[in-house]
Amino acid sequence: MILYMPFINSHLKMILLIVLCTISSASFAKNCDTLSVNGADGWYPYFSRQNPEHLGIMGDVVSKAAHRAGLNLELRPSIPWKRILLNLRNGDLDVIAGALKTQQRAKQFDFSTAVHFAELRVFVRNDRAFQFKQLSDLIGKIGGKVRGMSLGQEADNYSFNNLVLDDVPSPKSLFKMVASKRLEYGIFYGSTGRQELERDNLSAILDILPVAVATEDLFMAYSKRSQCQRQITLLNNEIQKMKDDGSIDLIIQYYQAAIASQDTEGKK
Amino acid sequence: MIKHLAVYLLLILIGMQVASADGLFYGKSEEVGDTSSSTSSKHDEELFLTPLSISIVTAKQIQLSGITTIAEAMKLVPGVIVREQTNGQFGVHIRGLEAIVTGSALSNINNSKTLIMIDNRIVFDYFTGGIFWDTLPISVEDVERIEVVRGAVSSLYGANAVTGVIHIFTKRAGNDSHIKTSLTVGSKNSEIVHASAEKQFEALSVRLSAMSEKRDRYENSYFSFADREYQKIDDITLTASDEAYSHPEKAVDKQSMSLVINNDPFEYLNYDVTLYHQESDVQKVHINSSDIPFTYNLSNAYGLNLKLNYGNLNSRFSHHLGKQETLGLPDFTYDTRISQASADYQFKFPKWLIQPGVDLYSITYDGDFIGGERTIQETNYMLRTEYNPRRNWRFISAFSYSDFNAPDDDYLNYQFLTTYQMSFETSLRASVQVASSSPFMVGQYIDIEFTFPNDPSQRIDVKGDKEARLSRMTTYEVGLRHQIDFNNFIELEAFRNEMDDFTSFNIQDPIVVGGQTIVERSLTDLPQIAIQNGVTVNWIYESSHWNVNTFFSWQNTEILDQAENLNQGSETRDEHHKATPKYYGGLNMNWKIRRDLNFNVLSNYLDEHSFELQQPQGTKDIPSAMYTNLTLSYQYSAKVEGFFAIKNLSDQKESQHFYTDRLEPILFIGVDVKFGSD
Repeated sequence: MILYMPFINSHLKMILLIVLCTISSASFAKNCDTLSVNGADGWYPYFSRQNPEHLGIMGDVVSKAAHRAGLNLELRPSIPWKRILLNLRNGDLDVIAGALKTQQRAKQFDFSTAVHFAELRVFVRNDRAFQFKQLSDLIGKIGGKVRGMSLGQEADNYSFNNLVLDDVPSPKSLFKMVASKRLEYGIFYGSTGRQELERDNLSAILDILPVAVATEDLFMAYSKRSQCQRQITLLNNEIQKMKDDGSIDLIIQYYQAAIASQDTEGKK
Repeated sequence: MIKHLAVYLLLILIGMQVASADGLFYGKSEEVGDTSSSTSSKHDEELFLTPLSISIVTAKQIQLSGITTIAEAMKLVPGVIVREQTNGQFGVHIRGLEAIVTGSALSNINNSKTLIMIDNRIVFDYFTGGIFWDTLPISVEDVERIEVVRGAVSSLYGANAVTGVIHIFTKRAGNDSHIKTSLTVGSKNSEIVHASAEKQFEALSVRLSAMSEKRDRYENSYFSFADREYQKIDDITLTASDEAYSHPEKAVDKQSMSLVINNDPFEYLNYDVTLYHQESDVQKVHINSSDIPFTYNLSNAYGLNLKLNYGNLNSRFSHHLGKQETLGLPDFTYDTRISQASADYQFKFPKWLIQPGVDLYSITYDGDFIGGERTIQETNYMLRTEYNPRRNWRFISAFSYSDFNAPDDDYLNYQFLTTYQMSFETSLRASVQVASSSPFMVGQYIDIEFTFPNDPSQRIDVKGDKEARLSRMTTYEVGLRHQIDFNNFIELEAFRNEMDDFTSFNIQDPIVVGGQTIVERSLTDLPQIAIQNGVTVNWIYESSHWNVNTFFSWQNTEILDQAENLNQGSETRDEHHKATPKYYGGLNMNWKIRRDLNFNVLSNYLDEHSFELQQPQGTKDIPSAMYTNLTLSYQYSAKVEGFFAIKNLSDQKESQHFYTDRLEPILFIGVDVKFGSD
């Protein structure tokens, strides 16, 4: 529009254009004092928004590490998981607090070392519980898992060749199908599943078998396109220090105690 | 046509341009990719990996596009042709293939090759074969989702799933008890009222729903076949009695009610029972009329549908009692009694799924046109297997053996399918399927001597044939689904349909008996073969504020050995089939202006085509046309929402379904109010 203003001479136009370009590019420059973070909703105890003081194990680790590194954190609003991944890929988000590492994701994101792990456990009706020590104990039974969920490459291969494992659309339907005997067992994250059972009033009907089917390492995922790479490195270094000095273990113990306390309450 | 295509492409480009401004969203995987389908494989599976050409229309899509009837919702589906006969009355065809027999009756434009189901209950009509959309005992407000399968799938659902299946899933009561009322009013005296009440009692949920719909036609006149122009009814000489058209302005007057009780405890056994009642009073293209396209039809029905599941055993029973009356043609008044029972079981093994099943149908019609009570009995024995040699590779075969009481011949329908997931983003599929029609009352059993009331010297005798062949179709398909990037998803399907074993009421030479000229028309097997090759492209763009879905089909249909006319011994020729448009498609665009405000554009394009029917109905050339609906919907609160829609915007004022009403713009405004907990 400036170019079509005859009352402004050409030098002034050039200066105005330079100023405008500078202003507009400056408006896109990011303030790296604050890193943006998000995580999968309803993934207690790994990430949770129920209590702003306690964001789950992975959320608390990021929060404490940022504090120790002198960085601010901006917790982004709850959005679908795949949009969180897109934001991280595009550099619109700096950190995901809690993600599984896959070959495909490793190409697009940077990852911390493993911070914690999630156990996949077997959920059964308490009147149809069975001994479970290894995957072969599931042969001959009809089970289920949430669609798209991986048990890890080895367990995925074993289950494909030897087990009947239906895909169901959601954890809610998985537990309902086990409760109504349409599945003999369901495989899901142990701690998160426990929360789901509480919410759906299924704790009195379903049990979680003690041995884990598989264990998945949990990582912090970092954006490769973030403009705040130096701050991300600072954050990651601090997380590594927290791992080494036992600070992460303290956070984990806090949540384990909270879960144990809930279990005791539930049994009462 | 070029002008319409240019406008269509422009709309797509605008959509792409606007949509490209927002790169926030992951796209289909959130809105559609996570969606499950159960019609394609008779069990729940991810839509992305389904082995057949399938589309799903959700209640949300219906609401945002201001759609007011279930048939109209088919405008959202790729590969489907929707023609409006008059306000609220539609003809729906999957991939066309309408009026294959040139020179046949007007009723042959109606679709008799697609199976319609509501919650697994077949709602097909066996009079001449087809769907009476006006007799469905539900409203669009009761729809949870509609799954549309394109292709010959009788191996899964028995006879009549020849060009595909339209499977309507209705709503069940949710966790919150509430009452919801919807009021929609519009021009042409359109009034649609719907109310539903939902309540959950632990494992038992109850939903009661009722609706009333009234609409006037776009025209008060009718097209006279004799005079070749639209005229007032009083100016048209009718062979039927004048009483048949005593309310020429009326299009639809229907009421329906349904009660759904669903019991899903934490036990093996769960059940779902639906009771329904429906009454309707409509004008539509139905029984062949020698004067004007419309007949006036009254119907009422009662019925129940019971689904029982015990573990992996799924069973269903339904019973339907109904009455159909065509004013002015008392011979074609009939009572119906339809019983259906089906069961299937899933045997699951590592890498294997084996699914045997059986369907029993007893379809009884009682009317003068068939000389009293006649029954079609059908038994289908089904066996479906899935084998996964690798995690990303699946082979499927299904066989259905259909045994009818008549004709004596039994029919084997089958499908061989394979799906291959090349990568996380890409899946391929290929299929060969064979499907057949069932016998129909008019085709198999009609036996009528019709003397023209206004000219007793003329008589037509129409004779059916119990042993006439049943139409069959073979579908070959390859398909691709690909997630291009976080925002864009594309589906491609290339298909070839081969349909044969057509029949028609051929005209014998007139004879004179006792001063009366008698023309006999008897059902005759025809040599025609219809061969259709086509491609459908479906592109979906999704972002946080924009959702653009555009779909387009190209297809070419050729008829081999087409009879020159329906006279006995007519010569045959090969010809291009003109009644199915060569190009057709649609654009559905949602702009989420604010969290509570949405603007929708739904455009549908049909290329020029032509219907060539028997005399005196003659020929109708339909010019290419694009019709656009614009809908603004607003959510005032969690309990109150509304919409305003203007429909049928076009540069054409033409009829779509032969010489039915010429479409014109129509306005609708609607409000939904919810009472009770949320």
